[in-house]
Amino acid sequence: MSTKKSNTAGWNWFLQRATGVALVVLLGFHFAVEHFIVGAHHITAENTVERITYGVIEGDHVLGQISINMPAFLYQATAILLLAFSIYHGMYGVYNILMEQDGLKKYRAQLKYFFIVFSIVLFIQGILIFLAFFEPFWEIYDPR
Amino acid sequence: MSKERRVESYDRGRIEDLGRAKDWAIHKPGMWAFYLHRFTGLVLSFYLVMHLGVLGTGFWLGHEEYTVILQGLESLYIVRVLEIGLFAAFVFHALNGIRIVMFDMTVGLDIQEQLFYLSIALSFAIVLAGVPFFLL
Ligand code: HEM
Ligand code: HEM
Repeated sequence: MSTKKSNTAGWNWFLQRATGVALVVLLGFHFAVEHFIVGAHHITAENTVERITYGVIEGDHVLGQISINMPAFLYQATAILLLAFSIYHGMYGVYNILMEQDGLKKYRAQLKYFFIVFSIVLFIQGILIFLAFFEPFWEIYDPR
Repeated sequence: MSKERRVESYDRGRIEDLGRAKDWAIHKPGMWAFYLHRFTGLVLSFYLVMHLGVLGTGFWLGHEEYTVILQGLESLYIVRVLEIGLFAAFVFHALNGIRIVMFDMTVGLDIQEQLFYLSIALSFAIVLAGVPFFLL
């Protein structure tokens, strides 16, 4: 399986595993927050600001009333790491699947650059989402 | 793994590809694990792109629109049901991913199939336990 052609391939192979293991925790936490504590249909911009700016996770869903006050930077770190790791892991995974299709091998270089650019776009979009719910920024920027 | 278990993958041409469709019936657990891992990985990746698109309304359109769009989506029953599917994809991909990483570290190599069945069973249990959170 892992025919390591160069060092980069070896690194990517390792990072695919490392981000995978980290995502068990990060995405597990994300589901716990959004679905088990808050409940997806109770999500609003207001409580998204509470989470992203203040690290306050509040919900009244199946488990009853829950309010967790974690250090803001810790919640922010989980959000940004989830963003970076799931983009890297997912896009590298899809790229690899495409590279296994014989018909696509001749577009290797183009596909590689497409996925690099696309991943950067996704990451920037993620940062903008973060900033939209990060109060100090939004107070200055808010277009309205 | 014994020799006859190994999947041969030399190119047998288009016509033979069709003939190979019947292979599904005799696919070994490892093959099912591979396809399921691939399928769930693609589902999660597709969701990630859509997710960042939807959440982006918070920045591009503003907070009120973000709330209206999210609540609108969540008011659709089909979305709730699909989210259970997404959760199932995550749970299986995570458990099977741990299984793959274990093998890379040469842990559990001689009980690969049992561990596959274990990850399926655990996935069912965890997803069933999670259903109320998605539908209530
Ligand atoms: C939850 C924790 C996760 C773990 C433990 C995990 C683990 C793994 C591992 C070890 C692989 C490599 C499989 C191989 O080389 O045979 C892999 C592949 C992949 N993963 Fe994940 N992953 C996780 C989450 C995710 C997420 C969140 C996404 C999507 C955003 C994703 C998308 C993919 C894709 C598309 C592949 C390629 C599948 C293939 O080559 O057949 N994974 N994952
Ligand atoms: C249906 C289940 C999900 C719901 C209801 C949900 C909901 C949300 C919400 C409301 C946010 C806004 C920030 C926050 O509240 O902290 C968010 C952020 C995020 N979600 Fe999800 N999510 C779900 C599943 C996923 C999955 C499966 C992934 C990964 C493949 C994911 C990746 C992310 C990322 C990376 C962010 C951070 C965005 C940023 O701050 O830039 N989410 N999610």
